[in-house]
Amino acid sequence: MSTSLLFSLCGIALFLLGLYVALTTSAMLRRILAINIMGNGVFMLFIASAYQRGEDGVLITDPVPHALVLTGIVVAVSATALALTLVCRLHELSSASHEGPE
Amino acid sequence: MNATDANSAVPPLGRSLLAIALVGIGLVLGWALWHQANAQASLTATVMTELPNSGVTNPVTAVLLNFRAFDTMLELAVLLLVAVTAGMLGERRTAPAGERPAETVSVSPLLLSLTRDLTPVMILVSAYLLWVGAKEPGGAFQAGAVLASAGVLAHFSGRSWRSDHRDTSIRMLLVLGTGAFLISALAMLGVTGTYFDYPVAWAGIWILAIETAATLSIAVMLYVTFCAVMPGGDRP
Repeated sequence: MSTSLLFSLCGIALFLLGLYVALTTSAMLRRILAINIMGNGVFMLFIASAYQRGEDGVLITDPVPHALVLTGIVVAVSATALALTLVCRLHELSSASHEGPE
Repeated sequence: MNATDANSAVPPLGRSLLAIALVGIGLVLGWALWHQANAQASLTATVMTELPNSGVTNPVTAVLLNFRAFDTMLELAVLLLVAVTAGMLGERRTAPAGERPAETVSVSPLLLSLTRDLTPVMILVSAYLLWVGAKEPGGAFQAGAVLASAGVLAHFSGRSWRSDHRDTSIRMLLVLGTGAFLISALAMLGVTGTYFDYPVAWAGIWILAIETAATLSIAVMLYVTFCAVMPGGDRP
């Protein structure tokens, strides 16, 4: 079993664990974290698949998955920031409505 | 509504069925991967053949800024969306918080001198990362992140940069990155007849110009987002 295959399998495991939690939990923060873990599993799979042995046994890296993962990380971080901002706002609004208008 | 209701969304039977289904999916994916493991589906050769035409020598930068420039433009658009949304939510939140001057926070002189000494270094590092992105790992996002962290440091030492997203100059900087990509795409449509198809002789300088715009824009977007989510004075 090669290293990249091991990393790919770990990526799949991370994706499925994240998917399970994202589907079963009702806590917003937990769901955001789970979706992040799903995304990280996909990134791991991508990066692992970028490493391949050439004909002469030298490791060559495919730049296209690397660039896609770089873009993906930025998008994942942005989406997480947006989700966390919205959750904070939701929390403020719901705690304000529980306390009642002052 | 604490963390104790974490598992209340799905009944136990549903959860165990879901777990079984996911293990099944995992086995199928793992099996597929095992059989694909020695398939050669690589774009390395294509990228390496086209690299001399891209204007840069780092293959990842070539993919990001030239071959797949559309993705990078949309990445900047996503960041812009986040910055604008966070800015709007922050504006709503801090509006009723009352006027409280930030000067009441005592700032240690050590922090002030650290900020004063580190900020030029950070700007320099950011420019270096931007420049080296053409040859080595580095590039617009790394440079923008370092620049934004200089802003964060300034914010913590009580001398915030301007971060109000309603300010016209801040707005210009926010859309600068996406705008540079769009304008270059449309300009290239006129020059070469295809979106994002840079003429070979100009590609290097063109990519550097776009990356500079993207760096400034990324730094401002990150900093605006940071300031919008920071507690506004009276909150713990």
